[in-house]
Amino acid sequence: MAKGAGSSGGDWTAGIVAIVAALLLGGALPIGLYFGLYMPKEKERLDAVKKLDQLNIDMEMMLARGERVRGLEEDGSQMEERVKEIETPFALGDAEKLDVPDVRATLLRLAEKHQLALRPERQQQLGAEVVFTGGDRITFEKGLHATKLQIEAKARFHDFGRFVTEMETLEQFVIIPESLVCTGDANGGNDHVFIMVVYVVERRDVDAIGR
Amino acid sequence: MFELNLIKDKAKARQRRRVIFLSIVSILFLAGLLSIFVGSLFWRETTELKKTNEQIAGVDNSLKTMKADLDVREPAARKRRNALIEAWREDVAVRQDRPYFSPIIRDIVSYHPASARFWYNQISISTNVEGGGPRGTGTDSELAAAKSLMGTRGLEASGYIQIEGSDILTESELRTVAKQMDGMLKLVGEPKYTLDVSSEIIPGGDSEASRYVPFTMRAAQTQFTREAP
Repeated sequence: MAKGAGSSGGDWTAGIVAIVAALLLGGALPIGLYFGLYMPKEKERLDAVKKLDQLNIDMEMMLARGERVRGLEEDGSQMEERVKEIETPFALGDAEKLDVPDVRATLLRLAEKHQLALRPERQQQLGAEVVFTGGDRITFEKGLHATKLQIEAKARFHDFGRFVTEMETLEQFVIIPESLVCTGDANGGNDHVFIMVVYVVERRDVDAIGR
Repeated sequence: MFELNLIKDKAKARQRRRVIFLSIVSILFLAGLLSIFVGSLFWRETTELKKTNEQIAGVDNSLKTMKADLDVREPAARKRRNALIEAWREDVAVRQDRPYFSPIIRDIVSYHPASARFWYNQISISTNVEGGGPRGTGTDSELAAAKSLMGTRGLEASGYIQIEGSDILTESELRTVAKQMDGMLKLVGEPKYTLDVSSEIIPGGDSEASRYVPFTMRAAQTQFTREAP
């Protein structure tokens, strides 16, 4: 009887130990999985989400930068139009020959209209003209160019004055006078000799500006 | 009796083992369920992390592409816009501030002393070398030419003036004439005059009646207004 009771108590003890062991082992598995696998993965995901949020903020900033760049490009296009518009009266030059043929032709027509004649010493010269190229092309600080033309004529003062006025107020060209020497007729006549240097402002290659 | 007890003990033992077994199985079952639940959570995190990482990779890739594109476009757009603005400003300055000679020529014709006749035999208008500086050498010389072209002009005229009566009166009138030559151009400072009395020509021999005196007039350097003639 005593042995039976003792055996019963021993069985229970072993059983309880087994149950506790099962509890410990069975509890350890999910807890171990939770702390060992789930928690690091969750931390990794949260870090990734934080990184994604940061990247989304960066993306918004980048989109805003893109808008700014588009704005800059739009400003550039508007300025391009304005430059083209303001340069309408600038001439198309021939940089190699240092000539502005259209302007020269226009000035020759004007000279003829205002009765500007060749200087006496140039009248025998083959192909001499009242307006001819000066062989110089100057550059302005921001890339504008101007080509030199020379006007040498014998004319009455009033005729030459009207020629200069019309030349300076031409709508299709911008002509800047550099110097003028007017020498009176030593014999008291009305014809004077005029030597004038002008520069014709040339149109830019707008597409190449700032590139 | 003894056998009966033995049978009872065996039954109890079996029951104990059954209870213990069932307890252990239940515990292990619950542990398994919990483990599966934790595993499912882990799986969910894994899939979400994978999705997030894919999104990160996508956004990062777009960002890198956009950055590379904007790093090229932004300085280029800024440089072009600024260059175009500078070009436009220069165009405006050239169109507005360019010098005109016609007002000077018109003034030379328009203004005469009231009581004297005079003739110009030489008129010269040229860039003011002292004011604009001479064309130097090197890189600056290219720009110096343009600066000189857009800069001030000097006017020098010489001729003969017919003086009747007082020198002082005529000289004062000559000064008035030069001051009137201030149409489009603003004369800077006082103009200078020279009457070469030693070279004067006396037509009739009467020095007080009428004589022709060579003169030189140097209008001071000029600056240009922003108005078209």
